[in-house]
Amino acid sequence: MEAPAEANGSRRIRAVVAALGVALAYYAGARVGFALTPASQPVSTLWPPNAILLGALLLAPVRSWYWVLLAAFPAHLAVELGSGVPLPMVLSWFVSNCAEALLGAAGVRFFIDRPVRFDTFRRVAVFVVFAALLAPFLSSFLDAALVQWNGWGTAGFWEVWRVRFFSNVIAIVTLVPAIVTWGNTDIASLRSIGWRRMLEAAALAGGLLVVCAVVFSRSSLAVHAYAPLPFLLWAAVRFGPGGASAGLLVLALVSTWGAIHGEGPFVGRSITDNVLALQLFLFVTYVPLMTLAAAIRQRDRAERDARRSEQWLNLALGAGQVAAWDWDVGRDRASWSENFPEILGRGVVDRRTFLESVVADDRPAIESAITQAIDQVAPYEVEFRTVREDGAVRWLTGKGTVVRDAAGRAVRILGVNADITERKAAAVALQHEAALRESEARLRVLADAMPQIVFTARPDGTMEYFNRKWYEFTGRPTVAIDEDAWLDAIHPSERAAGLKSWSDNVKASRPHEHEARIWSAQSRTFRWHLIRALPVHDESGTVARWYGTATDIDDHRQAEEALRKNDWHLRSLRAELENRVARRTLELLRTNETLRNEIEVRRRVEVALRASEERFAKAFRASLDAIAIASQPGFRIIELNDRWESTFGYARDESIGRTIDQLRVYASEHDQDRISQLMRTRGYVSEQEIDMRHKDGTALRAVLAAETVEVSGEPCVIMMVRDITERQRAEHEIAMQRNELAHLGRVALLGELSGALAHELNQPLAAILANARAAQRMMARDDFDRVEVRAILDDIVSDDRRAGAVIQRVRALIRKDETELHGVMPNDLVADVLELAHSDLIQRSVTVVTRMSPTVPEVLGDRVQLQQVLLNLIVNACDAMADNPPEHRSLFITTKAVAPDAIRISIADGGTGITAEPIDAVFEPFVTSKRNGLGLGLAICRSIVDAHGGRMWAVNNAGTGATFHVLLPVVPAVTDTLAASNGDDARSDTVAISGSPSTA
Amino acid sequence: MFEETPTIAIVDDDDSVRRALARLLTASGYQVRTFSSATEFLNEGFPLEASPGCLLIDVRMPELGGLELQSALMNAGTQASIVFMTGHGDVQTGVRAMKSGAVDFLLKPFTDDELLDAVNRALVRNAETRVEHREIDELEHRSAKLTRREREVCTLVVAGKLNKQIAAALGTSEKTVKVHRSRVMAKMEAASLAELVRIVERLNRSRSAAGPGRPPPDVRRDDDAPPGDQQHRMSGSAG
Repeated sequence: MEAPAEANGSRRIRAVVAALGVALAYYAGARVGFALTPASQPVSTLWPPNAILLGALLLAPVRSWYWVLLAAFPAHLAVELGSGVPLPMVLSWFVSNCAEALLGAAGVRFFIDRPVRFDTFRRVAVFVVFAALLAPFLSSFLDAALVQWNGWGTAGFWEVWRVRFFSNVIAIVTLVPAIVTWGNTDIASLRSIGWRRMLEAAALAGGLLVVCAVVFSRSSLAVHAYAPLPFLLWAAVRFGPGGASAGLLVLALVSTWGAIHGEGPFVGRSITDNVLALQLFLFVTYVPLMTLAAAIRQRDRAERDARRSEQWLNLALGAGQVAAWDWDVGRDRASWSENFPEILGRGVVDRRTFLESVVADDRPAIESAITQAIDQVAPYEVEFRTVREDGAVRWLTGKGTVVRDAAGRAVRILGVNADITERKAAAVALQHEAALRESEARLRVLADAMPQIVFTARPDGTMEYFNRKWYEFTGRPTVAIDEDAWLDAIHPSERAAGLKSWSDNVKASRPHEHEARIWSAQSRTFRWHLIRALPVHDESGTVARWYGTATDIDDHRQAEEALRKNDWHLRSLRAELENRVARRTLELLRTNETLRNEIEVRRRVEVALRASEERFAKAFRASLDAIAIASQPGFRIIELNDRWESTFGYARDESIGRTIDQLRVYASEHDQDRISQLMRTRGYVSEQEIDMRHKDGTALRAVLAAETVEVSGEPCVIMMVRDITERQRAEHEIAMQRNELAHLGRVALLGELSGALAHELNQPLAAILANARAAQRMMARDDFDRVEVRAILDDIVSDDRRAGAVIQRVRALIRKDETELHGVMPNDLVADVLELAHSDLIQRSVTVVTRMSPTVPEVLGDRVQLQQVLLNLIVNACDAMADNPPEHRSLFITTKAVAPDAIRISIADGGTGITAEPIDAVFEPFVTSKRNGLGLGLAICRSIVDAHGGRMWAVNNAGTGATFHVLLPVVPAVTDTLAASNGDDARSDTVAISGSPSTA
Repeated sequence: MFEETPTIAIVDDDDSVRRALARLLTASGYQVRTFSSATEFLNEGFPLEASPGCLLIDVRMPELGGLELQSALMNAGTQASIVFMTGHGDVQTGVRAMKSGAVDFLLKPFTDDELLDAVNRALVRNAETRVEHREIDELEHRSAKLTRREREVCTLVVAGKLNKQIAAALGTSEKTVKVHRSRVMAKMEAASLAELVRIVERLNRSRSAAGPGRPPPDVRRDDDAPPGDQQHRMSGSAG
């Protein structure tokens, strides 16, 4: 850095020089201006000083403008005062001149930065508008006003204004460009101009001068004024603004001089007009020429810039890593620089192949980047991977800018693609390295924190790092890394072996393990350590580093020594321990197994329980019996099923919570108490048939059973009630019908036996009559035998009784009584029946053989009905033997006790036997072999026997005929009253044969 | 009317009835014998043909019923007057009884009048039968005297054949025939041909009525077997 003092110094010198220059120029310009003033005019045709001032301002930085104006002041004074102009006017003129210069400079500088050049159309336009037109326009007002105020001259306001305006315009137009252009040119560039150009310039200048001199030094036509134009064009085209401005200056000067002196094309009229015409000519000539020069200069520069850009581009592209592209958004066509195929690694590249070569995952990124760029969200910048033809994957970057049209729509995107694979790799590698270094640092921290000795080694086995512990433990200074000196800390005895083992393992990349004694600084002894190291591989599989630890096993080792000394103890202890452990393990396993089994069992039990609960719940709900669960004591209902509701008419809501007693479902309080008593004493009630009551008072006949159960741990009662009202009614009806049927059967039977019965009656009647008549005859004689008569009377009485008995039997059979259960002796039964059938048997010539066991006990039954059965069988047997010869009509009746609780009456005949198949079919209703029979007799008999709890069946005899057996149960000592009632406390099942409902 | 007191045999299994009837008949002046079963009656050998009397039989009796007894007697060729009685009479039994020659079929209980009436009729029939039998026996006796040749002649004479024809039929002379004829007449104690015819017809009638139990006498003559031994056992006569 230069010392600011020096700079300041040189700058000051330069400033002074510049000021002087300005002053001089101003003065010179003034002089020129004076020279170009027509004789009769107060104002010059061409007044340079203002232009010079303006030019100087344009050349100088704004902060120096005060300095420029200040420099011009003395010159101005000198100029004007010397002409005998009064001071106020001079000052006024200075003010207006400055104003003009300032206005113009300011206007130009507002739009154009230093260095000011008229090398673009824009700049020329700005200059013309602001400096050449506007500044003089405005400052002329000021000037004119000042002139008026000062009362200088004879011209009016507007004239002064006009003249000043035009002269200033021309001055500025002709002078300022030259000044600024030439002022900005540096000597160095001038020197670099080749001699050919110099020559050309000289030729041009010469030609121009000549022509101008020619044209403007004599009278000539107006059209001659265009003669210099080619030269000016030449100057503009070839030499740009500089040339053009210089040429214009020359033209201006020459033409003005000529015009002043009444020469040239601009003569013939008043001076004023001439001047005006000239000024106009100059102006009209100047503007296009300057514009042209600027345009040409612009184009040249653009060309140069473009060429340079291209050269740069080619340089960049030539490096081979960057390709440029141009994508036409509208037509969706892209073109790349020639080196892109090489970068992409493909033979031919168009937009399609480009996108194809992009890795699929990265394509969306490109799309979105384009979209974002088009939408002006972000510049086009994206990184993506491509696959070269040879399969290699490269990272590419795409950067571009969007070229928009006037409406702001994206028209093209220009961009570059560069291969950044190495950079990326480098970045990744850098990341890895950074991560690695970070992890290393972490590891170091960790290692230092660990109580163990930790070390790392390089792949070749040399030690790289020891953690703090190592240094603390060995007492070594931490300054130097014990790369080679670590061996010293190892006990001499282990050094060689350890080293060898270590180097072997390193070579083989095997995990290293070695026990060695390490010097402990603290205890000033060697302590045994277990040294372990593991290799860590990098991505390529080679060892990157070794990581190792050294663990203090000294105590352990010592203990081992002690143990080794007590080897036998140790071994046996160990064995014992192992044994115990094994046993314990086995125990535990077994226990575990048991436990598992238990759990399993429990689980299954639970499952089963749940299943059974479910089933119970289902059964409960769906049961056809009314079930209620009540808590003990008190029988408070906690649950009941739907059947309960329908049976008793109590809804769940009104039942739950109340006691069963409260519901008043028992018909009799006696039953209620009895049941409760049973529950209390025994805990269960089985099959109690009791009367119950519906809510609306309807009577029910039900079978009740109850059990104690546990519900959620609480003792409860589950009560099941089966409504058998219907069943009972049905049973009653069945019994009634059976009775009816039996009665009808009896009647039919009697019908069959009517003959026999009539006979039985007639016998005693005949005897009675005969006896009576005999007695009458006897007594008619006087010598009747009293004894004989008495005997006759006795006979009469007994015969009467006999008849009466028959009648009674008949009546009994005909009677349609309800079934009455009495104790009946089977043998008596048989005897009675034989009496009844007596004459029939005789009539049919059937011989009856009875074999009645005297020990046959009593059975419980209806005498009449049982007689009916036997009678029926006897009649059937006689019918079966009807076709037998008389000597083969034998009927065998036997009674026998076949079991302690059963007796059997059998009636065997020698008839045709039973042809029904199966034999049992003979008991079916409407099965008969009789011609006129209904076939109901046996069916009725069977139903009677069944109702008595017995059994009836038939078998064909081995020889001829069949045997019918009737098995009847023997009931132990039951009395009538007991048979009439039912239900008792005994748990044994009492079969109620009663067909009649009791106390209905 | 009766040469000796007729005996009425009561056959009934019902003791009471038997007793009562016995009393009644005795009180009415008859001789009575009671039997509790048909078998007993047969075994007892009641002199049906020897003495007058009749039978009072109950139809319904075990083992051998009344009707069976009747047919047994008939088979034996015994002519007995039977009055049946029954406690329960169905038409079939009654018709059968009457068809087989019973005198009457009484339904118990019957009045004493009914009984005595029937008994009387039975006795009368019995007497008639006896007479008839005696006469027949006499005739048989006479017939038995005939020789074979005489029998043949008798048969043809009764048939209305002329002597000439008889002679031709028998292959003998008319004279022989005449001799035979007269012998027949004498033996048969027929006064005239008409009487002979009546006798023979009577004999034939009685033989055919007796049934197969009684074979024709002429066949028997040629046999050496004593005439009517087995069959006449019942009647107790050796004819």
